[in-house]
Amino acid sequence: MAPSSPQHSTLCLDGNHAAADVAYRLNELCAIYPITPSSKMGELADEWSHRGRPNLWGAVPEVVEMQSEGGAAGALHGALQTGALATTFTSSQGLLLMLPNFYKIAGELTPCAVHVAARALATQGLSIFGDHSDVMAARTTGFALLFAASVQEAHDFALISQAASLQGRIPFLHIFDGFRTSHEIAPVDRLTDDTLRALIDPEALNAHRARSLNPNRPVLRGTAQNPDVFFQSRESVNAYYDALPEIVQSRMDRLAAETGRAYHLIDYHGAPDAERVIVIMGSGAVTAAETAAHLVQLGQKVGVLTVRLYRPWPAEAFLEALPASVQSVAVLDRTKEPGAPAEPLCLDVAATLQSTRPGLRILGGRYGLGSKEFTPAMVRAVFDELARDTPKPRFTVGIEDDLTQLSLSIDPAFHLEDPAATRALFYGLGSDGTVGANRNTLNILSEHTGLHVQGYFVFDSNKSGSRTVSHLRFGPNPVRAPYLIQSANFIACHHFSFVKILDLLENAAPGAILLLNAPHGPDTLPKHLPREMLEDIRRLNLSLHVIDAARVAREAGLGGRINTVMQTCFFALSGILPREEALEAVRTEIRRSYGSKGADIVTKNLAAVDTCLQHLHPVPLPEDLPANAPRENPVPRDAPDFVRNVTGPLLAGKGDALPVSALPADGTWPVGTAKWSKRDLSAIVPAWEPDLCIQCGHCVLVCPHGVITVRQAEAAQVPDPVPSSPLRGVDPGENLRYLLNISLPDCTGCGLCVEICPAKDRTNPSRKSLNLVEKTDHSEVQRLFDAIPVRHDQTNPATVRGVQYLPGTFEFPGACAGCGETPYLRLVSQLFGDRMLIANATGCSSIYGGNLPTTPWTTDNHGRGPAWSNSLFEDNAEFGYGFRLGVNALTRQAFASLTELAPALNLPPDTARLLGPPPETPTEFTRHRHALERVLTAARALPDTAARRTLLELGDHLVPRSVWIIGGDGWAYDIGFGGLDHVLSSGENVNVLVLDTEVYSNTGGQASKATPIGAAAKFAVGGKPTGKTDLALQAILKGNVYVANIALGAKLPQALRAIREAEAYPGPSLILAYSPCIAHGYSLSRALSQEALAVDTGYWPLFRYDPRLKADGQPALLLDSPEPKRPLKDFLQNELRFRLPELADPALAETRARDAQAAARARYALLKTLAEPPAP
Amino acid sequence: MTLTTRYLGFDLTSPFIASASPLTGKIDSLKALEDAGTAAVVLPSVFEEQLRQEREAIDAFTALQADTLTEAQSFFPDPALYERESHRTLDLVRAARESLDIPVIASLNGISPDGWVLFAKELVDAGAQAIELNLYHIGSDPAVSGDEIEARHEETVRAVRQAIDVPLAVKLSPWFSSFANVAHRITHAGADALVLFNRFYLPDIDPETLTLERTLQLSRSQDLLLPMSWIAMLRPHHQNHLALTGGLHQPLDAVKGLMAGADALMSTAALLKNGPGHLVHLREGLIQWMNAKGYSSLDELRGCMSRDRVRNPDLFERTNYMKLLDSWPGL
Repeated sequence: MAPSSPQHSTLCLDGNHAAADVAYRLNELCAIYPITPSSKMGELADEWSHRGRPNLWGAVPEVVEMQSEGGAAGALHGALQTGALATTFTSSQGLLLMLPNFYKIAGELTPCAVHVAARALATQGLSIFGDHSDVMAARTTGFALLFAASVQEAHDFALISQAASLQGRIPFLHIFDGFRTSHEIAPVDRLTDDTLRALIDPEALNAHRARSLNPNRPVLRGTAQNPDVFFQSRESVNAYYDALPEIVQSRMDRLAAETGRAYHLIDYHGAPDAERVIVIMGSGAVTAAETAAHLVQLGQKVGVLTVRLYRPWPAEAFLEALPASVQSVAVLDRTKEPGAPAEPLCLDVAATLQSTRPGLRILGGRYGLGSKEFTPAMVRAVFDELARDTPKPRFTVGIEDDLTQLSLSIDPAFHLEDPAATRALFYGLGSDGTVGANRNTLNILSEHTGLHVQGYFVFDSNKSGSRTVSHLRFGPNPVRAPYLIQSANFIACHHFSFVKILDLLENAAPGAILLLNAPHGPDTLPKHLPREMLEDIRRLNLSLHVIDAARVAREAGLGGRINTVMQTCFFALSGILPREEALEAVRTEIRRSYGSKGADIVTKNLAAVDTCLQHLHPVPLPEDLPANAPRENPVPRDAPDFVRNVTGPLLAGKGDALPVSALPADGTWPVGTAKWSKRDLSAIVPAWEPDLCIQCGHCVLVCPHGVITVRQAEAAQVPDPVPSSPLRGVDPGENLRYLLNISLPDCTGCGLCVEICPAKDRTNPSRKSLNLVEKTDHSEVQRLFDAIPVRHDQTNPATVRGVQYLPGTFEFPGACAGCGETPYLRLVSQLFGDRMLIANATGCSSIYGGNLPTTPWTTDNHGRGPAWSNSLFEDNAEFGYGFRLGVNALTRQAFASLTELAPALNLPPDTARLLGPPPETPTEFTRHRHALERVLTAARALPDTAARRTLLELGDHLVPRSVWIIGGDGWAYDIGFGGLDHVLSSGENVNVLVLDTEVYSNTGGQASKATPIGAAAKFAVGGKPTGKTDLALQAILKGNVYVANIALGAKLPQALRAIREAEAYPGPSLILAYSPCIAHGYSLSRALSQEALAVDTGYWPLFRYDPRLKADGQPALLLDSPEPKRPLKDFLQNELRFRLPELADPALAETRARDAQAAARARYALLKTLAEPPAP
Repeated sequence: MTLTTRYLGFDLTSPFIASASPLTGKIDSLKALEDAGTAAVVLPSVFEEQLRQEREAIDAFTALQADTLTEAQSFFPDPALYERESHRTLDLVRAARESLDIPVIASLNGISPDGWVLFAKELVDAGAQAIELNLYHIGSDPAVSGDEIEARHEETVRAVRQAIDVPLAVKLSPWFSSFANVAHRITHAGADALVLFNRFYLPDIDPETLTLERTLQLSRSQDLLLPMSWIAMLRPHHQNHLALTGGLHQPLDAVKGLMAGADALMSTAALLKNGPGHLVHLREGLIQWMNAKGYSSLDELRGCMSRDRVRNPDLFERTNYMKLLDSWPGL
């Protein structure tokens, strides 16, 4: 059917954008909260609202950020009660937090559509990736569940769900697959406002308004019901659910009339006389249907039932769609319900067929959990399984299950790539613009050629030096392949170092083009390629090309941005367009993309286009391939078994091949693995000048990546060429040396160590004791340094100079270069690492701290180190509090057993300390540990008793444990605030460290209640209108909480002292740690001076509140920073977050800056009052 | 007593013009300046370099980590949501034109040939009634000769002149080998007026920290001597308008500037220090002095002490230096 509206247009959008575009137009309120992978829907709605974009009825929707998804659901529920049209967007744990309200909204027959980018739930580990675990948890709420399978469907179903909901009064979850659909870029035939109007029934809308709470016609809704009526009331809604499938189908039919796109509650694709059928929902259905079509062409009698409406379960439609010829059915669920007889969809299908088609064989399989790829080969494996005489009734597909043998074997060579399409893979670094250029390429091809396009981008887990792989398909036929490219006919590697560690040709098609950016010419390049790569190029007859893109970009004035150069080469080589036409399209796109950035940037990029092809060379391979070294192992041979067998494949991008048996069943992984991943992040690194060094240790404390290690050693044990200088503060006669080593492969070159270094050459102040230089080979020095015996003469945890020697148990985190959070963690690990338990809220710190494949948390020489765990985002305070309660319980038993056994043990005086006051200094802890060892040794010789067993089991609790609750401001100020408040009120000995970046950093810089007034952030586009919550003051008012405001980069000794005092305080402590972040909008190489400005201007006053001081009649609050002498604007003007709103609305920004200044003054005045001695 | 004067094609009610400063950056203070009697205003300079830096900073910092991480495609709202600095300046030009009855002069400090022309046209299109180019260059590159710099300045003025159809003033520094020659060439290239002089803001050294510190030193009355002397020297040969800026703090400074030959007197530091009301003090002080001395118009006063009218014009040149040295005690 032809579209009726002339306004149809095709846009390249991702699934989030496609859904949000409709949701925004159909609502009056969006109550939002960020969570991956649905955050973008809320961000877009917020931006549109800020721009004043109207909805379908001419009003600008209001977009409000709540403190959690639970809050968003509450606001949604309330807004709906007033008759407004309201929505929200969410995923995963966020959806779970909405469930209580979902029962209410559905129970009250309240129409709305909630848009869900479906994502896995955290179980043995967190997964931000896609599956249906979250939405399956909502299937009992009473919401209807409608599954979209593609980007276009995410757009269309956003409309159908809302239209059907208004008409049928049942609220909807509109679901599409997280990442696979939410982040895939595809052409979308955009629905016009007329089409939206055609589907939204105005009478249904009026009815919704008429049911609203209204004092002019008051009603009571939300009663408490007794046993007499509750049951009957629940049954009163049945008719609405019975009617809904037909309503949904009517909306689908109307959409088809408007656009020509026909959908059904259950769609069938395949042979009319199919004998084997797969039942599936979501994007996997597209793969299944395409594979079935291929197999049908080969004569197989197969088909696929795509379930679109899952709740209410459309049994009738299902039975109608199922061919009568079917003999066996495989139901594929993208979720896991441990212990169930089968997964939910399978059980629904089985229940439906039990009475109607009793002879059918029904298999149930799991696939695609956590965005595991789902490919045609896997679909074929399922069809093959259906054809077997004795198939597995329950199976998995896409993994190798060597434990329970549930997995199906697949043929990795089977693929269905469209031979008419270009399938291009681009390997890049996050910072090089590769992904952005590929987004441009999609636009160019979509707009200039009318080709069908698809883009999907894969990133690794690091925040610095992350690797990106772009998967782009273009062709004359619609792209129906929601999976990564399996057979690429164009492969580009934008960073030459990848060729040595990655199998870039794993998915190369025979005859493919291979483009390498390399600092080598065509003659010498083959000598620098790994042996396997040369052999693959020869075997697959690849067409190899090389360009020194870095040089071309540099000469064109583009610095390190090689994207234009590589994009031009792609167009020149791929032949998608005639070369000149392609180059002109690139030029046009450059003018469009960079026009607003200035004429010179446009000119430089155009120059790069014009010159780069002169530097693009084909590379013929010599007849006899050079005997090059093979590809490097990602981890050395001397690494532990687990690292070699599990971490190594993960680092090499081969994790998909790991069998079930290789992985820990309970999500428990070893620590100390970051050191095995040498990523060689920066060509510019610091170099140490021992002659200038004053051994202050500042660089050690501020390094965000834990790459600087210092040691004391006897001179005779320091070999050449390890640099050292005489150790200060000791008798020169002792001939001790000070050594400082920088682990260069782990250094990001952020420059903070150079910035803080106070030691300058008097005759040339540009030379410091640390200077950034070009990296040279350092491996031998590193090896020798690691072998030098350590001494502890100058170690002192109380001073900055002394703490530098303490071993850190946090090293090489994959955080952003210059991260402001990680130095705090490093310092805490130095001070207490050997006895720490860490409860870590979800967020940046849980990602660089615990995102596989490696972790920076590690152990000291004794094998001790922080034991770390992440529960959720919202419950971290309670989770850590649980640590404390559990430790207390076990410690009490240990004390009791020791007390009981003390006479028998005949404790010598030096071991009696175990029953005395807790140790405080490192020396006391060491003595404590020694005493414990002696006691346990003695206990082993005693007769077996309950007390002896308890002491041997729990005795190590006699060394006090340090419980740390760590998270960001999104957790502490927003989603976890209630729990944090409760735990701080508990009086228990926990240490709370809030790494305050003043935004949700991990999900992309959304505003939190820690965001200051006037700062631009997502969800606060024009600058946050209200001030930052004063969490410190709230805690101070409790009276029994140790509270500190610290800024490591501004005043190291204050931060050190506060952290030590907080840990020593025998009750709850709260440390608010100012943490510069890339979301602040300035070069983090200047973070330390900006932190100092934050303190000097009163933006971030330093103080400590120690309730113990009150006992001595002293003021409990100690102000550690003087009265601000500089105006706040000196701080604000350095950060883009404060300057952007100024550009948009100078007057408003000025007002907010004045308010911020006034608030800073008032806060300091209040602190000063609190710091005054109490009146006699 | 009439203080009317002509500058850049405008008939001004007095020679006093509020020069570019934070005071001319807001409508409220612009109105206050007009009420206090400024005859025209020069809006804060559009610094091409600053605009570029701002633009690059926005691009760089909003692009930081963009398309790099799985969970976040960016860390700022879409930068297109924010208007750029140049737009803000253009808004100020428009608002100033709407709010003020006096001439509005837009100031521009460029660094590239394209930038000068582009921004000058944008300012004119927004309503600027005249453009003041602020030619500010520190010749620190040993590979670039004075000739090259002067030729570049000349070319800039010529290009802007061709691009706009409103009066054009050029603000210069005195640091040229032959300033008179440069003034002549700049005028020949199309400047309708010269503004003497701009100030170089140079950093100071902190000997304790071995670092450079930014400084901002406003002019004082004694700084008047340099522009006053050069206006006196240029006046006899220079038919176009000359404006004095730097050192105008008291009515007597204004008298001296006018005597040297200035058509307009620009004030920044004194207004920043004393507020817009200081213009009343300057104007009334000038009138009082002229009344006391029997001058009835600026024409009688203007240029009476220029180089061609004084009895000892060599004092403007090297002879003064020699005499000062001769009179130094101990030499």
